[in-house]
Amino acid sequence: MTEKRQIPIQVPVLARVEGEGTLELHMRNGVIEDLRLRIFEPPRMFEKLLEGRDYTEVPDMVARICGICPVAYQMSAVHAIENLFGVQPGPWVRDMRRVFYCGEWIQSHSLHIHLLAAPDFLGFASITELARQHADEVRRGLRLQALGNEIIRLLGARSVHPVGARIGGFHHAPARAQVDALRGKLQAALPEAEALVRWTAALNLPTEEQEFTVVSLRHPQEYPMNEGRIVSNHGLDISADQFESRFVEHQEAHSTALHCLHDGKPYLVGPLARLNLNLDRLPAPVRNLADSLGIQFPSRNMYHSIVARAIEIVVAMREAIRLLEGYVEPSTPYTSVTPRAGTGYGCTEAPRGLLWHRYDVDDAGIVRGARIVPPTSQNQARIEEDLRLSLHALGVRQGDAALRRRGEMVIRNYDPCISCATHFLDLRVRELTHA
Amino acid sequence: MAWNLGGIVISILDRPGAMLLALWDEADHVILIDGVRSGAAPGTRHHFTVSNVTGALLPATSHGFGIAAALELAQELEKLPDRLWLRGIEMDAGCAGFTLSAAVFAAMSIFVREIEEEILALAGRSPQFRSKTASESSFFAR
Repeated sequence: MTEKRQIPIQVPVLARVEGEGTLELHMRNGVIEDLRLRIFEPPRMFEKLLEGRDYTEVPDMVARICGICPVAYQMSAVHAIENLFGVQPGPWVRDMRRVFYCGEWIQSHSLHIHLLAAPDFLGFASITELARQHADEVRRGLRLQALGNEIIRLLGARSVHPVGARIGGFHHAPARAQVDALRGKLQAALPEAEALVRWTAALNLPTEEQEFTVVSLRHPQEYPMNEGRIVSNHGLDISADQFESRFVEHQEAHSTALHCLHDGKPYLVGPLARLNLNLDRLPAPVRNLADSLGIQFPSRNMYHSIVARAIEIVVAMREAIRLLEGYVEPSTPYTSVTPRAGTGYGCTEAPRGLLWHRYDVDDAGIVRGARIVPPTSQNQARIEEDLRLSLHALGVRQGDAALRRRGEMVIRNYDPCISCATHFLDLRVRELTHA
Repeated sequence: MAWNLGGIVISILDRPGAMLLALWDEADHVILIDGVRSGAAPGTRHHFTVSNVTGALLPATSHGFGIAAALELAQELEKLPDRLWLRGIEMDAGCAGFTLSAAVFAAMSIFVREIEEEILALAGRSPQFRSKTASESSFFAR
């Protein structure tokens, strides 16, 4: 006998993975036989769009890939192209790029914690319901997100699809007075960010632990953002130009989103992966804060991702405060570059994980080939693996509503660009009770 | 993108979501302008109140977090501006992208003029804005 249950869920629109997601469960005698997260993502052909374009156009074009993490796309692109051209933009640009990235981490993580994740853990359907009982916390989240946006505007002129970055540096250097005013706001808000960490750690998070591989950048001194080698908890230690030898994207018949595997296996990128691999790179006050939470990092509980995000907000705020201290306007905010033919590689840490770029450029500076591997593609197989384990642990005999709720919670926990779609899962359960 | 015209700030926003609350945090009076799809004839000019547009089922997404969701959240957090006017123009469902259909284009002039007059009337009540808005009024008429 075959039983088929369907739960239709409303579908919205989202960038990068517009359309609807479908979680398909195939069960036999109460055991999950097959599980597929189908992403109906219309191909956007960004890599193809970049072909034939001048290298100077790349930062503004790739910023359009995502409205939430445009800085990450810009930073991976400028590093890849500068890597090819042999450009060293100097300490001012390096510092300001890190500040720029701090802004994106703060705004993106604040958005995810409050708008997407926290309602799950507190039993609310939306941030509006959450605000009804946790108004102060939501106000705090919005203030932090606004501060992140303000940092992005400082260097990018606007917070959504910023236009300030260029190969070699920035188009414009902010004025000292502007920097000092923003630094003061960050300093004043730091206790709020630290309180957010404690709030997330006190949430009633599921306690389920799983075995998984974590991958992130690792820098000799810093908590990684723009620079570092690609490492894992299983001994991987490679440079960005070696990425393709260990990470392979492939098309799954059930999804238009590519799946990326590391040595043929699923892996995790993002805040929990970064934190697990870079605890010793946390600034001392942040490490003390993390150690005081009663959570054992490195953690194998995927739900500690929300705490890792909050910790990274504090990291980013402290970094921005430190880097903006004693700010001096440079004589020029960029280094001139001369194009040369070849292939350049760049890898940075987007809020939701490793973001790898490769560009083939000719001697006139025209892009002849581009490849972009976003974090969502890298987490896709891990999400499916997590879904399988989590739903099995929950008990597949649960009703459709419970399965759907847990499935959505699992997916949202990764903060994928498909977060939006996952609220609109069309859950299809096909249960076979006899062989 | 934003212009500060001496006390009047004009901002063009790209799906600001919940950040609308931060953007209008210090404003006394906000006029929020957007395209509307309600089933009315393309080019129809709408005046809404907050209660007109809230109460819908809210998608808990970042990209799907629109004006209605932002207004509901602002109500919950007591962060609505003291005075908020919602102005909309009915879009043409058959016309995608940045191009205006003939019907919307024809209505745009009067739509903009009405909003300009509202702003000038507000500014006229406040002496500190009067001289600047008079000199900047051509901006709205363009």
